[in-house]
Amino acid sequence: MTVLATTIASGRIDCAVFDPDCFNWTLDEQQALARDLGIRAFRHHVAKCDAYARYVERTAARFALDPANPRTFPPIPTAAFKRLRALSIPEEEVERWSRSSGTSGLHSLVGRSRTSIERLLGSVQAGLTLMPGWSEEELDVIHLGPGYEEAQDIWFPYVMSLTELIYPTVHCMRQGRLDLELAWIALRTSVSQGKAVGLIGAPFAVLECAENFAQRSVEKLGAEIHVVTGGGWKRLSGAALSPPAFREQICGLLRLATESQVRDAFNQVELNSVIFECAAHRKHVPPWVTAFTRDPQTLEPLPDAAPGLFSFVDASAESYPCIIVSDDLGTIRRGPCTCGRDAVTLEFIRRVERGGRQGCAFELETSRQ
Amino acid sequence: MTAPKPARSIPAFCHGQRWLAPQQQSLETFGGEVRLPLADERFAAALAAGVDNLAQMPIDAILGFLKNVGRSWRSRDYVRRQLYVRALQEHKGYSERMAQNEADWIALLLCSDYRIYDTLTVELGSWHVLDDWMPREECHVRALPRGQVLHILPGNVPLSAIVSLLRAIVTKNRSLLKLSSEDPFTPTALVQSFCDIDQNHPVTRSVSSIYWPADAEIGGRIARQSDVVIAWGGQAAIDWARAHVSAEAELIAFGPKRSLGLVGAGPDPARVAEAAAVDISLYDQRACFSLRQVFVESSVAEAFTTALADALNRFGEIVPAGRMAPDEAADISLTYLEWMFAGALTVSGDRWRVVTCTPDQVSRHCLGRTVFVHPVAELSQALPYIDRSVQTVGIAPWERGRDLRDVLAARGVSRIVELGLHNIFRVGGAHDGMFPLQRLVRWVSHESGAGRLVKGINVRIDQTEFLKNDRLLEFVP
Repeated sequence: MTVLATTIASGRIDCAVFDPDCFNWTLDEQQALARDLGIRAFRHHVAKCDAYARYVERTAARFALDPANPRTFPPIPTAAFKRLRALSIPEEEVERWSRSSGTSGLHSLVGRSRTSIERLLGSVQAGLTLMPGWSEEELDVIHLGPGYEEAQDIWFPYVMSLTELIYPTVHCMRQGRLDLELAWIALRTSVSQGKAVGLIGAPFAVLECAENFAQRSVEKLGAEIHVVTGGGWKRLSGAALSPPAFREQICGLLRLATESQVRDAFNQVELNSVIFECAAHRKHVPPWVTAFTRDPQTLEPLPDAAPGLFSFVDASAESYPCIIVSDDLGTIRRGPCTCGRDAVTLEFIRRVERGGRQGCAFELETSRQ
Repeated sequence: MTAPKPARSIPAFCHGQRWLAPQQQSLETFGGEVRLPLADERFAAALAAGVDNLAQMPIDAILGFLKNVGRSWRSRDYVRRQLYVRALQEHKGYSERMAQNEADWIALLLCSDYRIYDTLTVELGSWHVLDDWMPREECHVRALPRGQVLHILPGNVPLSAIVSLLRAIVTKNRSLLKLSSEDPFTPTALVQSFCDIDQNHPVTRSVSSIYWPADAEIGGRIARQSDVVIAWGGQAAIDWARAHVSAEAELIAFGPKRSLGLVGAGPDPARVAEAAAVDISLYDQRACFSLRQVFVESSVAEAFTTALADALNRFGEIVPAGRMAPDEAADISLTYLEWMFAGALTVSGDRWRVVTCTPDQVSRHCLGRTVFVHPVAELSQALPYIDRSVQTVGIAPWERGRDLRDVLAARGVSRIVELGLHNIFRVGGAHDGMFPLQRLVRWVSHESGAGRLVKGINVRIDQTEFLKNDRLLEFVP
């Protein structure tokens, strides 16, 4: 196999990432771009990341590698980032190490260059175009999480804190505690100034906030609040509501005009793009990302709409090989979305339960003394 | 279009009689819906009203009854056995050979009355102490049942339920089997087979079975009214038992543990690999005694690994691996890929995997006949990775066992066995560092009277006289 070293810090990907119209392209345009950028990204990482190149050598036959088909690129299981640092740039060029906010055990560690971070931010900006309420000039954001400084290297709070680069933002978490009084004051201030409010945070935090606001008699906010959740329920998964039930609950508590004001976003630390919902509550995969599912047992790519493990080739990641298969189960569909756009859409079902069958057997964690 | 399969309802029993639980909990398995009977206040009250009629029964009558039940299980035509085998296949994903093997073991355990006598003798000093006062130096002693035993059963190894219940029965205790949602079939089938033989037999009447979810309040109440709690399972199950057992009661905890192998240089790596394949494959590594890690002396590591791949293939033909739930399958395939990305030397076949790496690289295990092989210059290099969490160490060649046992014992392991025999618990052996039967009885001593001379004190015991004349020091040897 011959692969050519290239740089992907080039015009085409950035044109796509920073194109506010990218979600309105035809499906063919989106697919063609995802394929081309995916192939370029694969070449880049094979040339620049020794760990990935060796892995490709070991697994090329296993995945029937065809350098012209992103679905055949050997995927890195996301949990592998917990043990190995896979980089396609010199370590000193890492602008930020990002850590997963997992509830137990080891955490993934992903190194991002300035370019990768800028494209991540670009994916957020592009995704927000799916939500007309999020007009930059007229929106204040209440972030139910820590600010940039406090978020440090933990991924989801960090991603959410990036909103302050786009909107006037009040971060309402201090030293791990949610400050709902601060959130309430921020809400009243924005509303009194005639501005719309973007309320963002993990679903459990948004629910807690909405319940708190409801007790303070939310009046006439109607179309003025736009909610975006991300990061899932984490430790509170036992209390998780289904997405429709969650939206209904939030709408009722905040007296929102329509459920389309409540959206969710999908991301994980190993993925360099954030995937936002449209008005029809379907998550649109950006056109620089190849997304499909894999059979949980064989890891073979599955046809569209078949539930399986999410697999991504995200060309926006320059600093590490974002050619991954995740622990998340879901479906990928291609075609017209009810929101009116052509789209590749993602539906998250649940996370795979790993290591739950040990019984009286000890979870193997060797400890050298 | 085929009609949906009807749900399988698991019956509850209270003192050997069918108990109609007003509520059930539903769970999805490979074979469709299974409904588990839920415990409630009424059940707890009925359970507490039980009488110790087993306590009056001679041990030979108890073992005779168990043997009768075992004879039924020995027959492959026994309907209860056939239903059980089918349940394991349908709902737990066992291959037919795995399920039949489990049923064979039930027959073997129930019929092995001579082994039970021996075990009682080893652990209690004499099996007669269960029936009568037995002389022991200056006393007569008797072992009485402790009362109500709550078994928090695991779902990973069906036989654990049988072993747990047999221990309680032969010490004449009453038992409540708290069913595991992973395997409600084994304990229920056993109780049903007791009923098949004699519904009113004291052994049958000594057994109850029901289910409650981990967070149910009723579970805590039942645990607190138990005289012994035997908890099998992971840390969460053990912690739950510890939190709910009453101060006066005995807690016997089995788990969580891990097991490994030590393979030294020897003449026949193929034979050693054959033995290792058995310990890797049985229960698809779900048991605490399952082999998941093997330290191999470098001089034979390559030959052993090559032979192990062949052996796993061959054993897979004899006892095919069970079906897996999608999450299990994903866990295995993703974990294996993680090892490939980490650069470990990996070999895989049809439903097994061998990962050669250093022990420091090991993080978590995905089960499913996956074994970590660690080449080491000498076996002593394995010792830093062995601690009290290790239950069984399998050794090959077996002659190396004597050299290693002192240092392994010092590291905290519970069992040292020959590789290939991880699942065979020999009579006389300890289980997780203890002799469980000793903790299932309450000892009473009837001590000799004043007229009986004490060894080394050749006078009648008269404490008033001893104190009055300050004589006690005279008896100090």
